[in-house]
Amino acid sequence: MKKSLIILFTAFLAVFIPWTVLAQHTEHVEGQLLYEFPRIDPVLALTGGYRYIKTNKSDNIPRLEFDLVEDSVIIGVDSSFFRYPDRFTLNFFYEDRKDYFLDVGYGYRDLILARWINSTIFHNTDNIRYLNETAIDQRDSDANRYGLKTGINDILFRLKYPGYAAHLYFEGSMVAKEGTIQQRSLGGAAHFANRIKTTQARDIDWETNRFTFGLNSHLGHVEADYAFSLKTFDVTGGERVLEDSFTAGGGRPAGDYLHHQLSETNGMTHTLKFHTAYTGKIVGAAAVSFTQRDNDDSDAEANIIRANAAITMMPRTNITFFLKYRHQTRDVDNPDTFTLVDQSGVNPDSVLSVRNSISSKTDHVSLKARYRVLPDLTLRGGYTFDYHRRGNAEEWHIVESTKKHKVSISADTRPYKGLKLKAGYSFRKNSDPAYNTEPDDAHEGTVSAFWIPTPRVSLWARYSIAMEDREHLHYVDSTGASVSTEDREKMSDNAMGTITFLVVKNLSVSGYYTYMHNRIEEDIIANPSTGPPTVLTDVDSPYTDVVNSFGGRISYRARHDLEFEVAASHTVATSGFQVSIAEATQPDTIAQFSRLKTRETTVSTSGRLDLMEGLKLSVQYLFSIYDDIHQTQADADGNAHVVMATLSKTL
Amino acid sequence: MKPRVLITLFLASLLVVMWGCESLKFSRPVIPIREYERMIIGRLDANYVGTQNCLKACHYHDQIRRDFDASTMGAQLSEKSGLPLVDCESCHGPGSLAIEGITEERVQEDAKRGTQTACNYETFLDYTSLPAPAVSLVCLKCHTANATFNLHDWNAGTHSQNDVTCSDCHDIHAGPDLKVEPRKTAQMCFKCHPERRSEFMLTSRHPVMEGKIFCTSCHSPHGSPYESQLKEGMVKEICTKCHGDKEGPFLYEHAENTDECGRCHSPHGSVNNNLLRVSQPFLCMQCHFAHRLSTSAPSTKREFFTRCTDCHSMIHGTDIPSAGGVGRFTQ
Repeated sequence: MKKSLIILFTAFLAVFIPWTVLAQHTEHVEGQLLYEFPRIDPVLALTGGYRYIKTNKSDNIPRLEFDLVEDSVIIGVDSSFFRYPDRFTLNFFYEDRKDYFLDVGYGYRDLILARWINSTIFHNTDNIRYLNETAIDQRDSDANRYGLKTGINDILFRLKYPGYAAHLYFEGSMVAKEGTIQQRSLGGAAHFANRIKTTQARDIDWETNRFTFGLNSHLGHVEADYAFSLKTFDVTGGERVLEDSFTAGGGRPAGDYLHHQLSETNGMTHTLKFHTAYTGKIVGAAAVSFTQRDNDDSDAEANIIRANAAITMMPRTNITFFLKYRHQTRDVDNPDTFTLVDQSGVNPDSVLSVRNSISSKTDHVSLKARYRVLPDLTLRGGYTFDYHRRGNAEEWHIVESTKKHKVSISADTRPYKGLKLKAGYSFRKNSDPAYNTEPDDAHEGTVSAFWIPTPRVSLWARYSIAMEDREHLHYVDSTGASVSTEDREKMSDNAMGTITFLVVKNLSVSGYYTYMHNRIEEDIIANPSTGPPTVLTDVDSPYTDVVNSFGGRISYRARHDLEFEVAASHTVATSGFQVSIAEATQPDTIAQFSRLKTRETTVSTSGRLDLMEGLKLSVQYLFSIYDDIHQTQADADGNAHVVMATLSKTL
Repeated sequence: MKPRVLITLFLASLLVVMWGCESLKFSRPVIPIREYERMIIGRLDANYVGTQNCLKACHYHDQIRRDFDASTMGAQLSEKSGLPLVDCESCHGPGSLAIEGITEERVQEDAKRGTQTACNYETFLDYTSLPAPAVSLVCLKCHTANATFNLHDWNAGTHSQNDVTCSDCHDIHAGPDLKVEPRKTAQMCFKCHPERRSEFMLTSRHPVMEGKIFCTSCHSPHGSPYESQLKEGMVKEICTKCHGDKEGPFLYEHAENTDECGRCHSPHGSVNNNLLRVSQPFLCMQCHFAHRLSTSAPSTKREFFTRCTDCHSMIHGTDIPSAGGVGRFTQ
C-alpha cells in the first residue's frame, strides 16, 4: 500500500511541478500588462533586550512553572517580503535557550504554501520529598532541579493545481522532549510485604512524530480528500527502561527486573472525506478512517474504525437543523501472556497470563435545532444519544453497555442595544454507567449577561451550576470481590464577572472576580489490612475545592508615544476531603496528607515609550509570591521578580 | 477487490478527472439559499469599478490594499482575464455609488481643511445588519469552490450553530497573514470563552496564557465531529501529541480511562497538581478500595494516603506486570 501511494504521489509531482513552473504569469496578455501588483516594501523589525529573574526560597513557584529560571538575552525578528509571485513572512522570538517561538511561511502565487511553526517550551517539574515515612530510598536530593524542554514543530506544505481546486499536501507534527524528571517507583519487593518508596533522577529523550500526506480536490457537487498518516513514538535517548534488584514478594522471586519502560509505538491511519458545497440549504459531510496502532515492545495492538456524518438543513432561513452521527469501533488485542525475565539469570523465566484490554463500539447520534424567533432572539435545542458497548466486560467487572441521553436548550437575546443575555440548561441521563465517576442523572445550567449601560462602562457576569447524582456505586477489590455502596453526589458552581471603566479617553480601569467551587460527596471503601476483605465505609465523605480570585488592571496612554499598564491579582485556593470513621481518623486523620491551601499574589507593570526614528522601548516587571500553607505542593513556596526590557526598531 | 487496490484506482481516476471535465470545477450548492444570496449581492443599481478605481482618489486604505495584495487571496489571478479573483468589491459589493463624486481634488481640499473625505460607504454591504450565516456565506462562496478542507465540519459545528462568523476571528484587513497568529488565538477565544481564561490562571495549567501552546493545539475552531470541537476522535489522541509516552496500546491498561484523559484531568487548569480534577487519594478512591486503613502507624497512613501514584506510578498504562503478576501499574 505504501509503495502504491508513493508511486502515485511521485507521478503527481512529476506532472504537477513542471506544469506549475511553466504556467504563464497571466498578468500579461499579448505583451500588455493587465494588472500590476503594487510595490510592497519589505519589512524588518528587530527586538533586543534582557530578562532578569530573581527568586527567593524556590524556583518552582507556579507563575514560573514554564520559565527557565535564568537571566537571558531576548531577541525578536519580524520580517515580511512580498514581491509577486513570492511571499515570505518570519516571526521569531527568543526568550531563553529553552524557550523560543518561530513562525515562518512562504507562498508562491496561490500554488505553493509552506509554513513551519515551532514552539519550544521549558517546563519545571516536581521534586517530591517523602517526609516522615519509614521505608524510603530517595536517590536524588532536594537540590535536584527537574525540567523538560519540549519542542513542538508543526509543518504544512501544500501544492495547488493551477486553475483548479486540487491540492497535494504534507503536514508534519514533531514533538521532542528532553530533560530530566523525577521518577518515583517501588523498591524492596515492590509489594505489600516489603515496599520501599523510591525516587531517582531519570533522563528523558523521546519524540512523537506524525506525518500526513493528503490529496483533495473539488469534484462538482462534492469535494473529496484522502489522507494517509504515520505516527510514531520513539525513545531516542535517555533511559528507556529502568532495572533494579528486588526481594521476593507477591509471588515473584528475588531477582533483577525491568520496570518503568517507555514503550515505543507506531501506527498509521487512512482517512477519506467527502462534503457537498458549504453554501446550500442542505450541506452534508462524511468521513471514514481506519487506524492501526502497534506497541513495538509488547505487541499489543489496537485497530480503530471511525465513521462520521453530518447534515445541516435549512428549510427556512430562521430555522436550521443539525444532524450528526458518528461511530467508533476500537478493537484491542494483547498477547495472552507476558514472560517475566530475571535479568540476573538466577531464576528461570516465568510466563504470566494477561487479561485482554477492553474493546468497544460506540455510536453517537445528535439532532440540534436553531430557531431565530426574532432578529434579537434565538432559541437552540438538541437531543444526543450515545450507545457504548464493551467487549470483555465480565473479566473487567464492569457493565457490558452504557446508554447516555442528553437534552439541552438555550436562548440568547439582545432585549435592547448594549445588553446581551444568554441562558442554557441541559439534562443528562445515563443507563448503566460503568465507572463510579459517571452519574445516573446530571443537570447543568448557565446564565450570562454582557451590558454596556453607558459608553464608558462595560459589565460581564456569568454563573453556572452543575449537579450530578449516582446511586449504587460499585467497587471491586484485588480478589475480585465486588461491593456496592450507596450514592454519590456532585455539585459544581462557578461565578465570574468583570467590570471596565473608561475613566477618560486615555485611561481605563477594569476589575474581575472569579469563584469556582466543586463538591463531591461519596461513600469511601477501604480494606483495613491483608486479612479477609472487610469493608469500612465512610458514608458521604465530602471532597471540596474552592478558588477565589480577584484582580484589576489600569491602562493609561499618557501620550501617543507613551503608555503604561499596571495589573494585580490575588488567588486563594483550597482543596481536600474529610472523613469521620475511627480507622481513618486515628491516630491522625488521613485527610491531612492531601489537603491544600494556597495563596498567590501577582503584580505586574509595563510601559512603552516611542523614541526617535522608530525605536521603541518596552519595560515589564512582574512580581509573584506563592504560599503553600499546608506544604503539600512539592517545593513551591517562594517569590519571584522578573524584569524584561527590550528595544525594538522597524527598519 | 482489496481495499488498497480500490483506493489506488480511486486516486488514479481522480488525477485523470483533474485534467478534464470543466464542469467539475464549479461549486454547486444543494438548493441555494436565495434569501441570503440576495442580501450579499450588494446594490443592484451600482457597478463594479475595480480596486484601483476604489482607491485612486484618496489613500486612506492604501495599507489595506497592500496587505491584501500580499496575501494568499491577493495572489490569485484569473487565468482568463489576468485580473485578481478577489478584490474589495468581492466582499463589499459593487462600489460605483460609493465613490461617486470623490475626486483627488476634493480629497486634497478637504485635507487642507483638516477633514477626511468619506466615501458613500452606506452603499456597501452592511455586515452588522446581516444574519450570521449570511456573513459567513460571503466567505464560503469561494471557500467552497477551492477545496478548503479546514471547513469540512464547519456547517454542523458548534461555532456555526452558535452564529459565529468567519469575521469574528479572521480580521482579513489586519495584515497580509489571513490566519490568526497562533500566539494571539487565546486572547481572541477568551472574548467568547472568558471562563477558560479563569481556568488557565489556576496554579496547575497548560501554558496558554504564556503563549506557549494555543487553543488550536487541541481544538478545531472550524468545527469537528467530536465533543468540544476537539481535533481527534479520542481525547487521548490529542493529549498524546505532546504526551506520547502515554498513548499505548499497553499490555496493562487502566480500563477505559486511558482513552479518556478527561476522566481524571482537567485540561485547561486546576487547583490540584498535574491538572487533576480532584486531588489524590480521593481521586482514586472514587472508584477503588483504599489500602490499610486500620494501621495505627502515622507513617504508614501517610505512605498510603498522600499520593497513590507514589507507588502506582505507571497509572497511564504499562507493559510490565506488578510483582503480583497482574496489572497494578507499580512497575
